[in-house]
Amino acid sequence: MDESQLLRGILEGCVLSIISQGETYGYQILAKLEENGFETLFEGTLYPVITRLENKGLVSCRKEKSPYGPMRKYYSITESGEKMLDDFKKSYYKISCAAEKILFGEVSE
Amino acid sequence: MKDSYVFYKDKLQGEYKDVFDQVEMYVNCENIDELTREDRLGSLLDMLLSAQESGRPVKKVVGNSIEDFCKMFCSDLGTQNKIRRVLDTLKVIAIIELIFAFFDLLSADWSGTDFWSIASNVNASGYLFSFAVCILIGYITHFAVRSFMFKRKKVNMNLLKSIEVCMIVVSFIAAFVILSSDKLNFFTCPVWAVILVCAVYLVFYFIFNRKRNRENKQQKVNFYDVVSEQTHVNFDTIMEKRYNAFNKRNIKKGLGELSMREFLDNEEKDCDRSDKMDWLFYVTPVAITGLSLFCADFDSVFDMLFYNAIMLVVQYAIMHFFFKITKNTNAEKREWIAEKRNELDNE
Repeated sequence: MDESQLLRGILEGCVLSIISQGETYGYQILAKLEENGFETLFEGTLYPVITRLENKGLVSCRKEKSPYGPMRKYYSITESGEKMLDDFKKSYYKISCAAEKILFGEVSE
Repeated sequence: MKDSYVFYKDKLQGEYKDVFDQVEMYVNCENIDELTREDRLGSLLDMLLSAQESGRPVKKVVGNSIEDFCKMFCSDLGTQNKIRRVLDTLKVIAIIELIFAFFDLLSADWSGTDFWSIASNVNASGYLFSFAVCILIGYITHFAVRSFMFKRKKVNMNLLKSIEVCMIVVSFIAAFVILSSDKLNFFTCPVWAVILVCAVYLVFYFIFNRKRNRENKQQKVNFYDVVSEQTHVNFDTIMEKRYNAFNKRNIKKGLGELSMREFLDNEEKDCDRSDKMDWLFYVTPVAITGLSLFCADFDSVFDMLFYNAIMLVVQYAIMHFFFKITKNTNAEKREWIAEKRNELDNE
């Protein structure tokens, strides 16, 4: 089964969760995702996700000059983003418990 | 200095630079408006610079396929962006048409006719055809560049950039040929109509984009920035050569060598002298126009005033261009002098 389909469903939530931990920027988000096992991701996948979050008002962004020169966008979660993240976590937990029961016959803690 | 990504591209090296050049070329051929393009390429540049600094392989940033990356990078733009891009393209075409309309106006017969009937039979169908042909040339070239650039492993970016420049030249030539052709002269109109339509469009375009341009003023690259970036002077190399040449000349004349500090003081005085020449900008067009008042023969005072008003506008536009380039270069030179003085103080 194509992994990207599974990824598409959870990437927005994961990126939102990373942003909720503190103001951050694209490269840091990518590095954090890779650290936690999302190795097939790259900036091209990330950019549309962040753009969608911004368009939905779930994250806000401010621009500042990066240490390397070009402008860098720093993202922070908004109130509606926090609420969306809570809802996402609840839905994800519910779905993943059900899926694990079917796939593995048990639910992990 | 503006914060456009254009000024920091040179910091990329090797594979990172190759990848960025490819993506930039692809993005320039896509239907993306200027500010979004600047925004996205700035983000990508920052990410590549971060990856370069931390030793992260470029494939971790863009994946294994540059083509797929480019498609994804330019996706999710929305209809608003496409509309803005169309408006940007129309702006360029309106400027080209305005230039040709002014040439039509200036080359028209001004003698013994009512003012509003001057150049009243310009090739209106020609303007419309040239408009359509310019857009077609643009789309065909961009389509060809986008298709070609991923066919080979290593793309010659200079070749692709040359193709872009040729496209603009071909557009001008095509417009000129069409406008001069009698075969495409189906209906005419006064040149004022063309000038009015183009001018009205440009005014509405700038008003429409006023808010966005103000918000992104620091980031938006304009023509001067592109020229400054292309003609960016590497002051370290040039000044070192100048310093060495200066001292060589002094030695030949039997004079002592200048220290670096003295050389910097001299260069700063040069900058001050150059800054004091600002009055040339204001006076030169007036002087040239004043000369033409004596040399040219006009049928009426109104003709004289109108013709000279146009000439003044054109001259000020040209002077403004060179004036801005000189100012930018002077400012960069002063920055370099200050940095060099700091280095000497710290030694």
